[in-house]
Order: sequence, then structure tokens, then C-alpha cells
Amino acid sequence: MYDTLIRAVETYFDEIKVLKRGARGTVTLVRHRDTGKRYIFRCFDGSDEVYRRLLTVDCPYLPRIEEAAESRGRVAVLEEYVQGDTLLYLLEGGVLDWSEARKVTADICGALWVLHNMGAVHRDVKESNVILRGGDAVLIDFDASRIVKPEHPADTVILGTTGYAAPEQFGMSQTDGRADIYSLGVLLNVMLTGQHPSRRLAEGRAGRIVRRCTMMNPDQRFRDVLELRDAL
Amino acid sequence: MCWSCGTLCEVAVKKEKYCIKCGAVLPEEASFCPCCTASQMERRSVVAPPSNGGRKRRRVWLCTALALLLAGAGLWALAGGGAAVGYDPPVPDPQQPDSLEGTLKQDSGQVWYDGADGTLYHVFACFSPQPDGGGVPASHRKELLLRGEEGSSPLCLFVVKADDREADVRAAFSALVERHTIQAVAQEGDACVVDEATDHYAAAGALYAHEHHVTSKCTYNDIIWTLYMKNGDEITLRQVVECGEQPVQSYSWEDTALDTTEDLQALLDRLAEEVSFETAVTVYLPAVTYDQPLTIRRPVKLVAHDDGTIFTSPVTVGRLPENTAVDMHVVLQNCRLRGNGGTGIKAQAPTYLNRCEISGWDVGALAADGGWIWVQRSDFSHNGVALCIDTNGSSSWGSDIHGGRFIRNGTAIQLAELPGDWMTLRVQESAFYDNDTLLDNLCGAEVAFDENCLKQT
Repeated sequence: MYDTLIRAVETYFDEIKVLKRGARGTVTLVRHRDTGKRYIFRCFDGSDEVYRRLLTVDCPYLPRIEEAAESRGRVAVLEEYVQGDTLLYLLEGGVLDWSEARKVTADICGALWVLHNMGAVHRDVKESNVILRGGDAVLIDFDASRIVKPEHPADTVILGTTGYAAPEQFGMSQTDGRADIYSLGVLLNVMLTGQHPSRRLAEGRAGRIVRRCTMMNPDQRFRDVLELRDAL
Repeated sequence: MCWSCGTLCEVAVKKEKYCIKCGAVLPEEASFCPCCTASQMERRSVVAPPSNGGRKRRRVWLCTALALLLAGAGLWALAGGGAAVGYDPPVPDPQQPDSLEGTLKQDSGQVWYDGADGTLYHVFACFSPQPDGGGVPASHRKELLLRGEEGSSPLCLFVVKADDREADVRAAFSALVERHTIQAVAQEGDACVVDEATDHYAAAGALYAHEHHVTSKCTYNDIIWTLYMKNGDEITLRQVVECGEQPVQSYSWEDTALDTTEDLQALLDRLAEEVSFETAVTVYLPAVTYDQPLTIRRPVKLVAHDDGTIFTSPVTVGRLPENTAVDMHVVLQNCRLRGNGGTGIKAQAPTYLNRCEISGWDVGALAADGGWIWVQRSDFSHNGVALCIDTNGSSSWGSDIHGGRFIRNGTAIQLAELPGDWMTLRVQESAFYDNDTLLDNLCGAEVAFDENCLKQT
């Protein structure tokens, strides 16, 4: 199926722009020749497990995954192109107020709820992976995602973004959904202050929420994203 | 087996299907038709349940929905679905909370309850009310305390109407309640102590409130609220209180240079940079006079020497970050603040004056910009204004002046702004002699002097 997908993209789609090229793979904006629809085409080293689980899911806070295939550790994914500005771009213009930051955080909680209920962890929640589409925030890029395997004592590969990644993502223990809660807490703080919580913590209740999200011990964080959303 | 060479091998049988829209030939496992872009998968809309007590029921259904979707992709087993086979749920509407009635045991601190009077109520537990009144559902609290120290704070239960949160429905809801109980169940360590109900938080909108007391040994307590309704329903809500021991560091004039204001300022600044704010720091001061202004930028307890530690220039307690685990505050113990005009101590964070003497200032002690002053057996004399509260918020503030002595001040207590509109300032066991004005209540706050206060005539 992997080879079939690669051939299909070459046959039926035009490359518009390479959005990201890294050591692990590339992300390309492509356009379907007949319909003109734009899609994101990802090729990277890793697992397609999370993408395949998303094939049948339709959630306003996640991109629609059209096809995913894997061959010998190489993954190809065709997904919906979510049109909008990244949160990173928006934050370059200044921090958000509480109601805006709360809405974005609650939307991402909605996205993570779907992933976590599949047994998946995103592991790379950050402002460049959030796109604001209309009034909703959409969480993208599951290249670092993985399925939680309780029998594994620790993550073997360090993925995620420095500053956002939870301590357990650096090998202290295996990640679960609470690693995403850590990253989301950092993101909430960045939205409100423009800075990592270790440098400047958001004031008031928001700061308390961030602090609980970013507890070193995962057991002391919110138990799940719904509890975090309730706290918001 | 290969009939040509005789070796065992797999024979790949390539299975195909047709696009449901354009009829193109696709691999059997294809989810998408690259010819016409039609999805070949049946998709189901999946959204998280709303924030309400119906969460558990919805989660079962939504997990089931997810599992069914995944089953379509051949991943049923990995998804762990099937737990709710046979369950025939309603289609959830995420915008509307469930109407629930009957016996409700919530693992979280909130529930939506369909009252016998036809009103949908949102019942939720929290800890302290918001400064401007009202509550925010809160089911978990972690606190660090010094060994042997006791901490006290409220547990509150609120009720609002689901579709009109501003309306005060406490009376209507109370009419449905036979009685309520609250119980602390220690899962680990000592049980915390829950007092009888108090009405101190009624003005903040609480339906019920109880003070509870914890020590660092109250490792993990479930707080169980139970409402027994007149129609036989029972509503049970759960909060969690976790406590631990706060790390401690101390510094003394005997082994640390603290003879001048510069020495003390340097130590405090270094501690602010290098030591976690969750560590309790005590500094034992020598019997000297600090004659330069001092700024405190971290939680600390300054303990004066028995022979007298005097501050003749203003002391400023700067803003401190909020912290959910520890009460961030500054303590001045046995210190003498003797001025000649100006402000003796300006608190922009919670500050305790414990057995201190404050005299000779235009304003003896000022709570401002998010700060608070707690008076514990301290003397104020010959100040223009002895104690001024002019603050719009604080991470930790309370209501009492306990054991203050206010003698020959222009104004003993001036209230310009208090952080909580609902708050009553409680003055306990305090004495007022020969002040020009006892209380200058500029903001019209509620003030209650207890029967042990001695007031000037």
C-alpha cells in the first residue's frame, strides 16, 4: 500500500511547496490535478499506527486523514490541508487574552481526548502544530505520536520539542496522555505570556492551571484532558 | 511452495475493490481514491463529552463509537473496545448537559442534576471561592506544609442553574435537599479534619461551606460530599486533598553576614534566585538597626533577635508568583519598624506581621497591588494610618486582624479596597486606644469586631 500511495501521489497530484524538510522526512503541500483540492503529504521514518487509527475519525479539532501506509519503517500519509494561520504566527503579533487562550486550549483538549481514547499520545503539542481554522483550533502533525504500550518502561526515542516535551519524554519513564497535558500547559502559558512557565508563569488561575499541567511527576498533573478542560 | 524451485514462500494474492464514487480500481485496503478524492471509509463525528456529570455515561458511548470506527479499520482489538456491547446510547449533543436524576456518584467534583422542581442544576465543589464571589469547580488540591504546621482553608459547594448561571437558586435547591454530609476519608496518611458548616462563605455564593484543617501528614484524603434529596435521590461528589512536607532552609546571623541592610538584601536576593520558592526559608536576624530600604522578593520568614532588630527605612514585599502547592507569603516576626514618615511596610504579597511593633510612619502597614497584611498580635502606634488595605486581589488573603493593638494613631484601620466584595473583615481580640479615627471604611466593606475587642469610646 505504501508504494501504491507514493505512485498515486506522483500520478494524480502536483507538488505546490515543500513545507518542512527534516532528518526524519518531508511535509509537502500538494494539489489534486482534477479537483484542485489541496492536501498535505507526509513522508517520514516512524510508524503509521496513529494515522491509521484516525482514518475513520471526523473531529473538528483534528485534520482528516485520507490515507496512511507504512513499509519497512517508512510512512506515507495523505491528509487534509487545514487552511488557517498557525498559532505560532498569531503569537508573533502578541499574546492572547484569557478567553482566547482558554478556547484554544479547550479545543486542543478535544483533539487530545480523541487521541488518548485511541491509546495514542501526540508528544509534540506546540504552537506551530496548532492551526486556527475559523473559530476552532486544529491540532496537526502526528509524526511524533505513538501508541502507549504499558509494558515498555521507558520511551526509547526522544521525540518532541525542547521546552514543551514532558520530563518523561526524555527517558525518565514511558509517556502517556499526561505528557501531552504537560506540553499543553506550556502552550497555554506561552499563549498568555509569550514565555515558558519556568521563565514567567501566567498570573492567577491560569498560572495555577499551567503549574498543575507541568508538574514534574505525571501523577500530580491533571488526570486527563477532560479534567484539564473542566479546570479551564 | 514454489513449484519451480521447491522452496516455501508466501504467495501474495492481490485483492482489489472499486471506488464507491468513480468506480476506479483500488487496493482492498485503500481508504481514499486518488482519482476522484472520495473517501472510502465510513467516518463518524467524534467530539469530547461536555463538562458535566454525564461525562462517564458519554465516555462509554464515545469510546464505543471510536472502537466501532476502529473496528472498521481492522483495529478493534487494539482499541480495547467492546466493553459496552449491547449498550444502546442516545446520540449525544455536546452543547447540552445530560439531565440526570437518581443516585449519582461522581468521581469528580461536579454534576448536573435534574431537580424535582424541573430545574436543571449544576452542583459543584470547590475550595476557596473566587475573590469576586462565585466558585470554579475544583476537584483536586495539593499543599505543602511545614512539619507540625496546620493549614486551614474552606471546602465549598455551589449550585447554579444550568441555563442561567447568574441566578441565585440556592433557596430553590435547598428546598429539595433533606440534608448534606461531608466526610474526609484518608486513603493515605492522616485524615484531615472538617469542621461543622460555616456561613462565612455564603456571601460569596456558596451553598454549603466547611473549614478543613490539614497537616503535612494528611497525604491523600478523599473529601466526600453527599446530598440526601427529599425525593430519595443521593448526590455524591468527590474532591481530593493531597498534602506533603515542605522542604526547609534556615540562615542565622551567627554564621551568615547580616549586619547591614546590604548584607540582608544580598542574602534575600540570592535566595530569590537560587532556592525554590516552595522551600520554606527562615532568616534569624541579629540585634542591629537596618537603616536602608529593604525589598523582599521571595517567601521568607524574618525572625528578629530577642534584643531587638529595628528597621528605620521602608520594607517592601514584592509580588510573588502564585503557587498551587504552597502558600506564598512573608512573615516578619518580632520586628520593630520605627519610622519618621513614609510607609513602614508595603505588602504586594501576603504578609504576616507577627508580634511586630510599627510606629512613627505616615502609613504603618499597607496592603496594595495584590498583597495582604495579616496582623497577629502586633502593635501599631503613632502612625498617620496604622493599617491600610488597598488591594484588589491576592493569592492568599483572609479576613482577620488578630490581637492587634492600635494606640494613638491618626486612623487605626483604613479600608480603601478589599479583594473580595463578599468578604467580611473580622477583627478579633484587638484593642484600640486614643486613635483619632478607629475605622475609615472608604470602600464600605463589612467589618465585624468580636466581643473581645476593646474599643475607645
